[in-house]
Amino acid sequence: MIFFIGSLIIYVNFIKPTYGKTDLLRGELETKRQQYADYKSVIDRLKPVFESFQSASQLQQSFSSMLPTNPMVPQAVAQLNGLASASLMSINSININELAVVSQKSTLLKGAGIIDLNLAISSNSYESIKSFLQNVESNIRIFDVKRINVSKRDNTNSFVVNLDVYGYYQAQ
Amino acid sequence: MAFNKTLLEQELKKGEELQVGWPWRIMVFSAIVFITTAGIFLGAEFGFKTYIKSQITQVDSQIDELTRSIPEDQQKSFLIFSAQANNIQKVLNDRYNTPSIFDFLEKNTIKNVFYKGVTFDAKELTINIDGIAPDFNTLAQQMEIFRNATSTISKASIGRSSAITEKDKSGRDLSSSVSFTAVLKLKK
Repeated sequence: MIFFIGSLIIYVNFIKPTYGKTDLLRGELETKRQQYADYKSVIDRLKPVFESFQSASQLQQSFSSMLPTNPMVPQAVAQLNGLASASLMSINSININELAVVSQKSTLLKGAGIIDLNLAISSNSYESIKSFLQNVESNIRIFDVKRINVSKRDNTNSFVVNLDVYGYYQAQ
Repeated sequence: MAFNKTLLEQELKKGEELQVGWPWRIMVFSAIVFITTAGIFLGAEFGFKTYIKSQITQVDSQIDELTRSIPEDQQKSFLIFSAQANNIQKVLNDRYNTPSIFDFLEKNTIKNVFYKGVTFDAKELTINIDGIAPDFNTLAQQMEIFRNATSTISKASIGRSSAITEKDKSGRDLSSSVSFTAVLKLKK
């Protein structure tokens, strides 16, 4: 009788809780094994990508020229000034604002930061304005014309161009 | 006869022995159950549980090793590179081709209509025009041209239009024209 009661006590107080704990541990082990398998499959697929990524330094440089890894405001201003000069236009004023980083769905990949450049430019010809816009559009660093106002000065052939341009950079 | 009697006695004795042996058998059985239960507990607690724990530690270290197989700085620069590719594509896809606005206006403007000011807003996708037409008829034709350019324009409307008359010093009418503003809503 004592043995039966002892067995019952061992089962209820020890085996049952141990079985529960062991079951949890088995679940955890299974999850970790699955996690390992997932990681391995991702890393196996990524390894060739990493290898080619390391050899694609030129592409990395191009991307960094298009979307620098920090705002680089002086560079943006210098580039716009250069583009204006190349189209025989002159910049009268520039206002710069740094806007919030565009959020991304992914938590790993950061969004793009924006610098908002407001420019007032003088131009002596309509063709210059078109050429300037074309150059802004095809510049290596990405600029995006958000607003442009072109107005002709009274009784002259000159124009005033007010431009709102976004320059982008890669947030980190 | 004596032989038969002995057999009977023997059978009867067996019954007595059985009665006497049952408690012992139950005790032995209980003891076996007890030992088995204790064995199961000890096996589960110190054998199987410990084995699973060691397996978890092993898998953890394998995961760590796997993560370390690609250096952290490489992972970081790869993530930046991926984010750049992603953002470049997004920005270029969303960007409106501003020079095309001017090409559109050039191709779709009547010879005698002039623009004093043009404002293009990429966020609102609108072109605001401040212009001069020789007369209301021409202005109506001009607006009709905009309305028919359905591949670029979704809506064209006149904001304000008024006749302007230029006079000479003596007050005689020299020429007349129509000043107007218009809003063109662009298609995405």
